[in-house]
Amino acid sequence: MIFRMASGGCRVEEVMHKLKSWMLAPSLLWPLLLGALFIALWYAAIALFHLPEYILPAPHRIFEEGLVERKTLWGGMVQTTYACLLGFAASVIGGVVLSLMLAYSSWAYKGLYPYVLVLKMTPVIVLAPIIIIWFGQGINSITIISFLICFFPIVANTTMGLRATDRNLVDLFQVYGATKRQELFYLRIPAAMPYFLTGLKIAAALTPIGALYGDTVAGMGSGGQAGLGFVVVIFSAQLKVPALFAAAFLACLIGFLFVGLVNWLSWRVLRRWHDSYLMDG
Amino acid sequence: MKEDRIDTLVRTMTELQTTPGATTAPVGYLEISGLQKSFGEGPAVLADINLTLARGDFLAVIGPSGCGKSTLLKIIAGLIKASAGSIVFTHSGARADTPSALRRAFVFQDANLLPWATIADNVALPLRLAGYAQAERLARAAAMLELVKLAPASQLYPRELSGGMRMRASLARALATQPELMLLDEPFGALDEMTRDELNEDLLELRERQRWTAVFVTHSVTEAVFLANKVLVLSANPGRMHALLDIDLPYPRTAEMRLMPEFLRLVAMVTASLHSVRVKLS
Ligand SMILES: Nc1ncnc2c1ncn2[C@@H]1O[C@H](COP(=O)(O)OP(=O)(O)OP(=O)(O)O)[C@@H](O)[C@H]1O
Ligand SMILES: [Mg+2]
Repeated sequence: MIFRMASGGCRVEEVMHKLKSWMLAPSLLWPLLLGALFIALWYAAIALFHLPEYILPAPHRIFEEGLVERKTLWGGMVQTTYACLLGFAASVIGGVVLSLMLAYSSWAYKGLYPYVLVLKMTPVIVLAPIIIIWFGQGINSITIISFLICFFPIVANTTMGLRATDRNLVDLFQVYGATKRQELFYLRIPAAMPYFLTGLKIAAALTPIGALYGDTVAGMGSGGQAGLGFVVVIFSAQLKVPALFAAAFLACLIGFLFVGLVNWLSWRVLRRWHDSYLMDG
Repeated sequence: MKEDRIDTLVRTMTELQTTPGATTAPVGYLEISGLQKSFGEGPAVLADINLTLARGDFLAVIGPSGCGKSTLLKIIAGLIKASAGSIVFTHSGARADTPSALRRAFVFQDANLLPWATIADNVALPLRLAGYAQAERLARAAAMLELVKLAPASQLYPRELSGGMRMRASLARALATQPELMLLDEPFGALDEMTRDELNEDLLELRERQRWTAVFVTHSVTEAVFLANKVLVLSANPGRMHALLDIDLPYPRTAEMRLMPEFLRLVAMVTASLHSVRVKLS
C-alpha cells in the first residue's frame, strides 16, 4: 500500500517534470507564446486605433479572403514553388561547376573571378529589364533573375572549401599515389561539403526572394499561371488587402519550407562528423 | 602507370601470402647519399645526409626542433624533392629510384584521418586509392583494426574516438598496405606518456608480424631507445648527421626493459649526444 502510493507519487512527479521541461523548451514555447502575443496585439491595435481593413486586416479576415481567393493563391504557390526549384537548381549546378573551375585552375581563378564579382555586384534591378528583353516574359527570365540573386553565396563558399583542403590530407593522398580524380572525389569534395552547405543555406533563403522579385517584373506571361509575386501585384492594384496579406503569408511559408529543407539536408550530411553538429550523447 | 602499380602490389601480396612465416617476407632497403635540401633560394635545411638502412632496421631520428626531421621524412616519402643527392629504395630485387606508392606508408604527427569517413573506411583508404574491390579492402581493414585492438570502433567516426584510439587507427591505415618501409613523423608526440609507452610496445609487436623497415622521428630519447636499433642525431642549421648510434638491445623488447641498467645507459648516451648538439649550437 505504502509502496504503491510512493510509486504513484513518483509517476505524478515524472509527468510534472516532463510537462515542465516541455513547457520550458525554449525552441517550442517561446515562439508560440510570442506568436499568440503578437496576434493579440494585432487585434488590440485594430480595436484601439480603429484601423480600417485596407490598412490592417484582422487575422481571421485574411484567412476568410484567402479561402475566397484560394484558386489564385494555390496557382501562385505552385508556380512560385516551381520557379524557386528551377532557380535553386540553376544556382546549385551553375555555382558548383563554376566553383570547380575556379578551384582547379588558377588561370580561371585569376581571369574569371573578377567577372563573377562584377556580375554579383551589378544590381539585379538594373539587369532585369535586359534579361526580359532577351528571354521574354515568363519562367525563363524568372529563373535567370533568381539565379543571379542566389548563385554567388554558393560559388564563394564552395570555392573556398575546395581550395582550403587540409595540407596534411593532401600529403596523405599523395603518399598513397592518389590520382587527381581520386583526390577530387574522396578528398576535396567531401572537405568542401560544410562550406558548400553553408552557401546552400544562404542561397535557399535568397531563392524565394529571387523567384518573387522575378515574378513581379517578368511574371505576366508565365503561361497564364501567375506566381505569388505577380498575385501580390494584382491584389494590391485591386485593393484586395486581406488577400494581399494571405499571399504574403504564403510566400513566407514557401521561403520557410525551403530553408527548412536545406537545413535538414545539411544536418543529415554533417551530423555524424562535423563539429557544427555536436552530439549530445 | 596506375595499373602497373596495382600489379606490383598484387604481386607483393601474393608473395607475402605464399611465404610461410611473416619473418621471411621481403623487407625494404634504403640508401641515401649526399642528400641536400633547401627551399627555394633559402639556406640549406639539410646537408650531407648519407645513410644506409638494412632490411628490418628501425631508425629513430632525433634532433632540435626545426632541424629538418620532417623534411627528411617527406623527401624519403617522395612528397618533396631533394635539392641534391639520391635516394635508392630496393624492394623484392627490383631497384627503383623513387619509392613506389604502396610499398611505403606514412604516419603523420596527428592522426590525419578523414573526418567524414568511418574508422573502417579510413583504414581502407590506401587500398581504395590503389583500386582494390570493396569486399577485399573492407576485409583487410577489419583484420588491421583487429590487430590494433580497434575492432569495436570500426563504424565510429574519428571525432568519436580518443586521441590514442585515433592514432591506432592511423597506424592501422598504414599497416593495411603491408608496407616495406614505414615512415613515422612523431606519431605519438601529442599523447600522454602512458598511452605512448603502450603504443610503442604495440608498434614493436606489429613489426614482429610485418617486418617492415622503419624511420621514426621523435623528440623523446626514451622512445627512440626503446624502439630503434639505430638512432640518428641531427644538428641544426643546416641539419647534418651529428651522430649515428647503435642500440644493442635484442628484439622483441618488453616493457620491463625500460628499467634495465643497459637501457638507462643507452638513454644517457643518446641524451649526451643530443646535449652536445645543443652546446655546439649555442
Ligand atoms: N615548405 C617549406 N618552405 C620553406 N621552408 C620550409 C618548408 N618546410 C620546412 N621549412 C623549413 O625547414 C626547416 C626544417 O623544418 P622541419 O619541419 O623539417 O623541421 P623539424 O625538424 O621537423 O621540426 P619539428 O621538430 O619542430 O617538427 C625549418 O626551418 C622550416 O622553416
Ligand atoms: Mg617536424
